[in-house]
Amino acid sequence: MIRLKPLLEVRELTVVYKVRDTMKYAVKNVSFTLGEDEVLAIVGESGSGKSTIALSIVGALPENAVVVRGRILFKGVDLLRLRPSERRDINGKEISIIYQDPIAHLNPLRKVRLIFKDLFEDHGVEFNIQKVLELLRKLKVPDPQRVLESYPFQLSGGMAQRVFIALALVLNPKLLIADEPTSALDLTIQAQVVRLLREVRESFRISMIIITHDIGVATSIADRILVMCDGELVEEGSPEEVLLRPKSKYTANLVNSTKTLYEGVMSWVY
Amino acid sequence: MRWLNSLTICVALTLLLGIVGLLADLIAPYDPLNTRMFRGLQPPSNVNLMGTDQLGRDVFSWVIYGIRTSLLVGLSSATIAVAIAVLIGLLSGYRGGIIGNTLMRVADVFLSIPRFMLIIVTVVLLSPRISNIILVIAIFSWPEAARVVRSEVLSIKEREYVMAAKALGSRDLDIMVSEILPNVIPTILSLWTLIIADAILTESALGFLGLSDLNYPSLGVMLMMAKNAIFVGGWWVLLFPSIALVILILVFNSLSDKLIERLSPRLG
Repeated sequence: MIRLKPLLEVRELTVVYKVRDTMKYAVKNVSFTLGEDEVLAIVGESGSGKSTIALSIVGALPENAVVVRGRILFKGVDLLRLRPSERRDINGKEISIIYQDPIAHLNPLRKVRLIFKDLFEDHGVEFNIQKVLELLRKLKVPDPQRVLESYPFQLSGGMAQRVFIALALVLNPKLLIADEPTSALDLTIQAQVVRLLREVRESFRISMIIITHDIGVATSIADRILVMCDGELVEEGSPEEVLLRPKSKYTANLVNSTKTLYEGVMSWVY
Repeated sequence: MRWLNSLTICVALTLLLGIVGLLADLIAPYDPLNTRMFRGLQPPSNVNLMGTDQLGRDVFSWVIYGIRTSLLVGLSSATIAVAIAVLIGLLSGYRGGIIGNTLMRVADVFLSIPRFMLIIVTVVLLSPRISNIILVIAIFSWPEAARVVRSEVLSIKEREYVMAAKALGSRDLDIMVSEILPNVIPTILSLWTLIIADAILTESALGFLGLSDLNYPSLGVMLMMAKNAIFVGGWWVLLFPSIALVILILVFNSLSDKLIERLSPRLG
């Protein structure tokens, strides 16, 4: 594989959560890089620290979390040492995030058009409705005019996901983070979201980090997969390597369990 | 009370009361402050619809002007109180930290001293002018409302859409104004109407104790007259102002209930 120029470099990141008087390590000494236009998936079970990594990158860690060590270099700038105002300039404009439940992440009392307008204004960019419409069309939103005049609750789940992706992409960020984009969705919708993310990757020049616990989703989109267990990075490699030649026992078990489940379901169906 | 169970009826009644208050000059047949000693304690008749009190003042005119005073005091003091409450509640709920905690301790101090005592003492000290009454009621009404607003803000700021706005780079002020505030408005409206009802009651109570602005007839003052009048058979002096007061408070209380029911997006 070609070594791409790194856009994001995470070095020895260590994050702890303070729970009353004890410290709990969520991420232990994790390092990885992400090249331009590269899609990286971080796979792990609940509590493995994968979401904490995503939250550290967007700077939305909960108040009881402390980054004890490490650096997150984005275009050579350490995100962890930025002032809040500089941080805000980067969020949404350079680094964006999408979530699994888009409707809950849209203010229920504001029309979609106003949500877009807020985003432009927050970044001091003049509101360009044509650009929004074009992007919505590109993301295959039918009747984007009407969607802009709707409230979030009037959108279907798939439509809201597209709107949210448009929101994340409209200011041309370099990096898109998808935090558990498919969890808690049924299989058909899951397939739709995976397809949507593939489309996004094909039509926009953008790097992506996909946080998921589903190794199937990870292998179907990503160029490279990181596997995390208990806050540590246990495996790194291309989808083929991870699926066929896992280096760690944990990954092997993870792949096997998915296989057994899949085979189990199949034998039950047929 | 089945017929009060609809927001439209509540709003209509509120508007009706508002019109009565606004058009008091046209509706009231007499100057309520005009005393005629020879016509004291007249029972209801064609001349005095609701009779007269011991000093010969027309109870009907007094009630009409009393509604105006109640609305004036209720609306202005509730508006001031809610404005303070929203400001402080938003700030301390969203920001927390030293500022937020200090503001809440100030609210605690206000809440821990019996409110009505404080209001009486302050009004006596400042002299019972209408502006003083409004301000004093407002100043002693915000802490409870601020508490409620704060708790709403505390829960709303953890919602996903606030997180998302942060992750997409919104400034704190923008988050407070365009993400959180609109979602607190149902609560604010409901609090506002509730405080109106409370302020109306407080104003009447002050009037009953003799602490009212003499240029603004208070329903409480007529109730104070009634205290003596009923012993010589003047039931009308008690009945009509009481009914007016009950209607005022009932309407604003139900309005508050209906508003929160109708506007709250969680129940929608």
